[in-house]
Amino acid sequence: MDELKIIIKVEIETLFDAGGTLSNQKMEHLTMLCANLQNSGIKVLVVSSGAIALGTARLGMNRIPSGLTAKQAVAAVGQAELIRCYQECFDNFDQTVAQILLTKDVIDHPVRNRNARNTLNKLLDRGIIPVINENDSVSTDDIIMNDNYPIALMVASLVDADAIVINTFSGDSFILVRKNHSSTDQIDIEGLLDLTGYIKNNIVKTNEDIEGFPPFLQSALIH
Amino acid sequence: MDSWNQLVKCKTIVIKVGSSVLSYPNGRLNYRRLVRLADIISKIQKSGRKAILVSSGAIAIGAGRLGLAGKPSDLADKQALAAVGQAELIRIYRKFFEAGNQQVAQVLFTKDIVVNHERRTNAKNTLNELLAMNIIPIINENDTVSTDEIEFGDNDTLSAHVACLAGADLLILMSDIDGLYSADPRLDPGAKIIPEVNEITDELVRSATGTGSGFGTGGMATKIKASEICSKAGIKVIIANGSKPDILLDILAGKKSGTLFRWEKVNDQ
Repeated sequence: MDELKIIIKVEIETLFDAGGTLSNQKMEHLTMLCANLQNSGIKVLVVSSGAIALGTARLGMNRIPSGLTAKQAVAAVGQAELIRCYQECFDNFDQTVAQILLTKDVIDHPVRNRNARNTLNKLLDRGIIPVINENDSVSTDDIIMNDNYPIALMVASLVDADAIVINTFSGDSFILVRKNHSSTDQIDIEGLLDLTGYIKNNIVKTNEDIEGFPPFLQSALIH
Repeated sequence: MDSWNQLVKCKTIVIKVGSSVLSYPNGRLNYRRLVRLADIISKIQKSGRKAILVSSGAIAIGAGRLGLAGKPSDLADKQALAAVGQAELIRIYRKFFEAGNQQVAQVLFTKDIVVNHERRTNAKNTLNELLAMNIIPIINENDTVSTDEIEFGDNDTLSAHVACLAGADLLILMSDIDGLYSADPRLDPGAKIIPEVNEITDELVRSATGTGSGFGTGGMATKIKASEICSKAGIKVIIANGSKPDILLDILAGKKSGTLFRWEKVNDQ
């Protein structure tokens, strides 16, 4: 079996503490898990939201601005903050990261598609974890949808990933979305840290329903 | 009032710094200069003006971070280093601007901001909003998805388009030479700085770009091209030596520094 490629999809809000700020402890825990997966031989890519939330905090605003343009501006501040947080946390585990900002047209644009694919694969070859988000300064798709499932799916397609792991609020359970499987699995930390073994051995699927996922993700899961 | 004195009135200023300004010849960062640059640009912002910084350096920093000597030649390698280095570049700027209590934002563009209406509108909105919020945008090309066929190719050209998008009054191109010369100063001891330009003639292009690939890393050809883009929008352009960031304050005080392309906005006349 070739090295697995796994996308960790992070909703940054799941890493906030009760006071509504990013929890260093949760962030460190997540990056430790990612670095650990990487050390085990799995190629890890992180697709992370959070630029608007972190930009809002950085600028001392009480709440996320409502206007689309204001959100774009706040995202440009927050993306710098987001990638700094990831790099500083991953530094604890001696892991280099790279920042990749994509727009959805990348998938359909032959040259951009090739460039993005080559860059991502080159980073993976060098043992660097790409931290990916939508380029909000020039695109509003993600902001309007308030979600980065489409980006996660696009990256999965670009690098031919084996699975997407979604972090959940509980912090010790994850949703595993596997390529060519119509159901999702719920895994705990042990399952996550032994992902290679899990995917290799766990032939019996939990057959959990994929209801509750956005329709486009459901359709992507089924084929 | 001469052309230089008019520069004190400039409200929105795009400052482009090349790798040669930010790093030593070995490619490693000149932190002291970066600190100074951040300090000066913060001062400009606090004087009531709006500054936009267009900065290179991601690939060089990425190479440093990964402990590589020199820049790689392979395209995908360069893009990978840019993705590592851009994260580091913006972290360093953020840290140095923090000293002056100045917020910054990272904005990465592709050539789509020129050719694609939706991207152009979004880019313009984001820039205007950041300026209105008193945040300094720090801009670079989004190398991950750009290559020769579809990229700006150099930050001189990118900065000219940014100046147009933001409706800037002035673009300052900071590089490792003092301005536009009448001939290649490395070859011709009689070469002089051309203080002011009001028309880009074939002769000017020939003398400035010489027979070689131009001086500095970006070269003069791309700077003249950038100036040409700005001429249509009446945005003044200065080529100046970036080794002393204080030169930015001199320029905005109306002191002659480098080469000024005296383009006028229609409503100025």
